[in-house]
Amino acid sequence: MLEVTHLKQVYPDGTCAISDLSFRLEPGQRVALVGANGAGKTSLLLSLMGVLPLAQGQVRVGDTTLSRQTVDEIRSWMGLVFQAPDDQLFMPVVREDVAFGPRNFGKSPAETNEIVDQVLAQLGISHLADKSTTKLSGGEKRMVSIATVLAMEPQVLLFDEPTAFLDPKARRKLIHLLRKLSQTQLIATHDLPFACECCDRVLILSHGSLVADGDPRTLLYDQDQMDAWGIEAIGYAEF
Amino acid sequence: MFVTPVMMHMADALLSPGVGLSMILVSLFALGYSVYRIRKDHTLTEQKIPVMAVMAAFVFAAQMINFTIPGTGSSGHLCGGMILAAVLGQYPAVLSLSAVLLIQCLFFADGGLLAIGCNVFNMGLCAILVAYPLIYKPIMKRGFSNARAFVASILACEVGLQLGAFCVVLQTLLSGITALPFGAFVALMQPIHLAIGLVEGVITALVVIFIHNTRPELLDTALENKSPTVSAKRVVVILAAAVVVIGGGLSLLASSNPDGLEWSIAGVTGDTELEAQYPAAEAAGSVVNSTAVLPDYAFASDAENPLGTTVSGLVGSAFCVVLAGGAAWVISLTKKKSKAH
Amino acid sequence: MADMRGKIQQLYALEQLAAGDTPIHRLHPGAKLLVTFVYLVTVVSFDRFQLGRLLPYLIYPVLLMSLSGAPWGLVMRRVALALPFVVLAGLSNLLFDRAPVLVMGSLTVTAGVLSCASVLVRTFLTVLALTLLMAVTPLLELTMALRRIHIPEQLITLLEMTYRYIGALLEEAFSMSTAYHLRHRQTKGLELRHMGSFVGNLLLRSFDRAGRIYSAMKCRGYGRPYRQPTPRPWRWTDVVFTILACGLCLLFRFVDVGLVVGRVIGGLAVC
Repeated sequence: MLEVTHLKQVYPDGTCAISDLSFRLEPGQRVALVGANGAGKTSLLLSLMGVLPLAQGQVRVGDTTLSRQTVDEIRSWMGLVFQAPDDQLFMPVVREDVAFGPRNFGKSPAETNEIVDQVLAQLGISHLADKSTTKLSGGEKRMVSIATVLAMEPQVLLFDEPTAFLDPKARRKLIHLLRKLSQTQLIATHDLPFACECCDRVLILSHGSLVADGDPRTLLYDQDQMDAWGIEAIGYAEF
Repeated sequence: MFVTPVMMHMADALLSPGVGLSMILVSLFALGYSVYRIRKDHTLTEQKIPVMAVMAAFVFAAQMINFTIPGTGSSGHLCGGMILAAVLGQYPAVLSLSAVLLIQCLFFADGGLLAIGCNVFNMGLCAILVAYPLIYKPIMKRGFSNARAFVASILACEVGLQLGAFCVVLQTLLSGITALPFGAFVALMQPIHLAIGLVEGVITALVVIFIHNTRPELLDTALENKSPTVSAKRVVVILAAAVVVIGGGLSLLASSNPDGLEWSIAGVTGDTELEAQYPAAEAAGSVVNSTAVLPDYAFASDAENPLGTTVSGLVGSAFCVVLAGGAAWVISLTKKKSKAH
Repeated sequence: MADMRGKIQQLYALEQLAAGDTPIHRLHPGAKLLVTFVYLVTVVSFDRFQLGRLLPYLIYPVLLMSLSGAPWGLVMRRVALALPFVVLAGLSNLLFDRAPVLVMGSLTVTAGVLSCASVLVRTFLTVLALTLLMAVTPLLELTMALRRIHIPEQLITLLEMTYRYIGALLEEAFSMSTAYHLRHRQTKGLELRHMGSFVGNLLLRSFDRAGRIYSAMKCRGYGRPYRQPTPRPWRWTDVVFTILACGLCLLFRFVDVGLVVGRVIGGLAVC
């Protein structure tokens, strides 16, 4: 579904953000992307969406390869949920914000309305439709920003730290939601227990390259390995 | 110092329609020109819009930050136009500041809808389209140094605010709502804004220096504008056009007693005394003339003075007000009743 | 720094009111905008001595206010905010317009008193009208109306997004200044020498946020030409409201209604 080959990305100052990264997601897979702060997770997500330029390599979604010409098509196939909902919700009212994507992709007003209603109902937040985006709680903001991406009817969903800013109950709700969604998902997160519950596969990034790919329930508990990658394993404690 | 935005914000109440509308035209023209320039200079107009919007919101937030002025104990706050210009460049900055002013007028009752043209002109165009390209930019183009940043910021802020304050004086006086003589008004406004400009300039310089030290590329994009346009010439052209339009608007008002609106009515009907032609008014007038209901009140003015009819007018108007109040009361009563049911 | 919180609250208070659902709220935004504009122009077209002529104009905001349920307290606070500069102009009239115009027994009214009062009434009316417009019309509807009169799309997007981010950046500035004051003895404001890095930091954060927002917008197809939602059509109630309200404004402008009514009352009193 999503295939990345030999991807390389360079910061404007010349340092290498991601080097020679390759992986492949099968349809319907939920995959966690784990790495220390500054390991290159956010950069990777942005370059998959064609926001940051690729220095080298290829990104394929379905049968389409990301390029200047296909970037619009790629973005209609794949959606990114940003870490900070405040960055993602830029319209004054929830309904308008959710309608922003479908409208830009040429849906008629009637179709757009239908999609918006349907997506809000799917996430159980229909009551928020006419609320101001500034007055939502953290959990509501997260749900609405997921709705804005689902409204574009993507096949692949990318998440950047979806559990950030959430209280335990809202986090639980999010886990249920992600499990219910049928799309292929790539989830960048620091929340390892969340990755274990949600995902059946984990990719571990360290200093811009892929160092491990496997089952989260074995990888994320491996104290010594994880320590070497600069990540704190599950169950680690200093007493 | 707390008066900064208040003193500079023209209010609807102090304007005549002629001045207000002609300033709206001038400002719309300048904004249209800025949009045109942004489209032309920046291939990525779309990219500019979110940046302009967030920076406008930044100015709004920055204006809320109080600081103490050393040695005075009083506090002041920032206007921010010059910082905006230093980061965004002049044309995007003008649009951003206008968005700030419009939102202040709509949501916070700073200024007014009719006065928006004046405010965009006084606070936006004077500082950003005149002082910035003519003073700040030429000084800073010679290379960055802290001293230059201070000189350029203070000079540009002073000139921008002096121009703006002087425009406030002109617009107010031309509107004829205040009886303040020109000399007294100028003597009041200009020195205050000299002080405000100094503080504004110092802070602008501090912020510019900070940004130069941390993220110099943010300033460079605006300063080393690759398009070789002589902005000064453009500005003079814009201002000349503005003056023509303002002049046109003001000549409406200059026709002595009748104000702009009455003047245009006179042009249509050939008679400024529309009231007198209404038979009802005449009939009512004759009733009062023959019965003299309020004989104890003497008018010191002559018959030509519009005040001659004040008393009857006040009685009637008070009646209208009571009527409106009564209607409002009845409406709220029925609303409460329908809620109770 | 309490005024930052105050500003945020003000913004939300109006937004909440505008989201209401009354016959006034349901009117076409263009109609309300047009009526407000005509109202403002006619109100300010009187000269500074025509105090009596202004009073009938109270009818429109008072009726609108009770029909839309806008609270007096909020509206009056707006008027108070607008007063300082206007009061200055009004007081100067007291000083410079000293000719007596009306003598009631021992009480002499000067032209200055009259013009000062009229400046205050003008302020009251204009601020009232504008506040009411915003209390019964959501910004998004207003920008729709602006789109229809072909204000450039860039300006409107700019306006909508600025409005969206004011709250977020005020919150940011508020928490920054709270953090500052928690580690600083001074409570009144920042020290001038800290303004550079404080405002500069706020600016950098804003700039970075703008970059992220732009990415988020691009991911959802921003920048492609898109079909505008069809604007809501004018209904007969909108037309009636516009004609009635504009008509009243113009009537009050060209006929001294107060005088007519006053004389009629005077006539009745004699009979």
